[in-house]
Amino acid sequence: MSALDNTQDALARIAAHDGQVNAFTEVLAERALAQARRVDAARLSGPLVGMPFAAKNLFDLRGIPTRAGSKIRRTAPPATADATLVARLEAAGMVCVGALNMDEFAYGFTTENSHDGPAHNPHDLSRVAGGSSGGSAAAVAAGMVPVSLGTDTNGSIRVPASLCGIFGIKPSYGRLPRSGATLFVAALDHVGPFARDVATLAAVYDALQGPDAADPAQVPMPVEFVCPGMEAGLGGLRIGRLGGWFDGPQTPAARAAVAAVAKALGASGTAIWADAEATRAAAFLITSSEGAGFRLPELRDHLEDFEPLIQDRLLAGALLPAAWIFHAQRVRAMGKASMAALLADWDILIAPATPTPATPIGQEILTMQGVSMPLRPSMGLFTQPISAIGLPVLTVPLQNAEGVLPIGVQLIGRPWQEATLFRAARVLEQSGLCAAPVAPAFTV
Amino acid sequence: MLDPKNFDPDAYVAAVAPAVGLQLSAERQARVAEALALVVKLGGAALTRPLPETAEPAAMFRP
Repeated sequence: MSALDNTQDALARIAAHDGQVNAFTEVLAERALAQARRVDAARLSGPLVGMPFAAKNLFDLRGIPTRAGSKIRRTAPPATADATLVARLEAAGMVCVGALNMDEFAYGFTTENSHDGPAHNPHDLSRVAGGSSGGSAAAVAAGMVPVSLGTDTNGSIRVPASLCGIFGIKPSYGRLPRSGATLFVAALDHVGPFARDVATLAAVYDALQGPDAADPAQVPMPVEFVCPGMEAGLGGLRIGRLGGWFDGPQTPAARAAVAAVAKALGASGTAIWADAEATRAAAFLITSSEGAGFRLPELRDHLEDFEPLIQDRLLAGALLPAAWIFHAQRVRAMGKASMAALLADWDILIAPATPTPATPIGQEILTMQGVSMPLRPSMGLFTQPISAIGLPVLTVPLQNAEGVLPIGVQLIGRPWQEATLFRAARVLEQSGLCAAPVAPAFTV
Repeated sequence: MLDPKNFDPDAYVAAVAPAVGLQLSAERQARVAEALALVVKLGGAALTRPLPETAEPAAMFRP
């Protein structure tokens, strides 16, 4: 199919299905059709040529305001250029078809956005899609686009990938450039893609790599393509399961998914990271303070225009004592060091991505194994400690984990070792355990 | 670092919010204090963690 055919097909699927899913906040048909015609005329070759994609609406898209899920930014001047990752995908011949729903300023795990409405989970429309990149995951799971871009500060790629049953990669902190993306917590923000199969995810990830002087947090590592070694299998890899904190309260579906992935990968033991809880707590404090401090001028002047779910949390975060955040940064460094020691013995560690499959929209409390906790922050129980120390994670999906609902499992790697994660994900995909077909209700 | 028993979110919010330019109603102050109490609860495992003086914060800035 030509790029134009693919793009028209994607636009038709969005028109047919997004009324139910609410993944898109803007559909850029004119821009997409023009890019598709350019791609066809250029006669490019490569695995991504002519493939449509969409981006979380915190990525700059030339010609429209970058709303970042907010009401406040809707009247901002239109972006004058595309975010770096968007530009790289279009340079590879892909076609951006629109912007995607998210939690306001990326502060949330459920994409219950009061301004744009909630993103609905394609596997059960009464349930959340996860967040904060909920629209990104829902658009892919519903088959409206094969690829999307998201961001992950505390789990915002891994949580929606898990709840929507698709693949997602949160690379090492500093691997991919964030330039042109609205930051939430600069100390913790990562960017990355979603897809329904490992080969597409790998090709997209490779297209996104490369230095960008505009992102001061990007680490000057060499480009390390993952596609060439993706079929290398598991030979030589030491794979274990994370216990301790990661064995904490979770549904039987989450526990069974981890066990199934551990068995399929031949996990040879359990690793205990004693600092997981403290590191997660440090991430929570850093997020609260930095996320709110970044928005303090807008909180002073436009408080009532913020998402009601986060107004009080942001205000509380803006007041946190500096000494607490300094201490949290030291705890974070301690957690990084203790995990580095643990990873001397392991190449990949397996952990749940979310403690539960998708929950009903509007649910406030999560109760598991007799323990009740606030649902929204608890979706990040198992993702938050890992992003706090910047490790790469590829989330793999298992379908029908609890009735019709999927759930994801984290494959956690050593810093900069994304390639090993793609090898393991490919093995899981080939075994048939992990797959991400379009959600059944959207296969037509 | 933190003694949760001696931390009073209501008094803290009332004292600090005006100092950073946030004029909050009494009702809002109460809700923010509740949110702050949750931050203290979820952040407690870090705030109560003893550290040696040699523990440096996570490096971020590279000139």
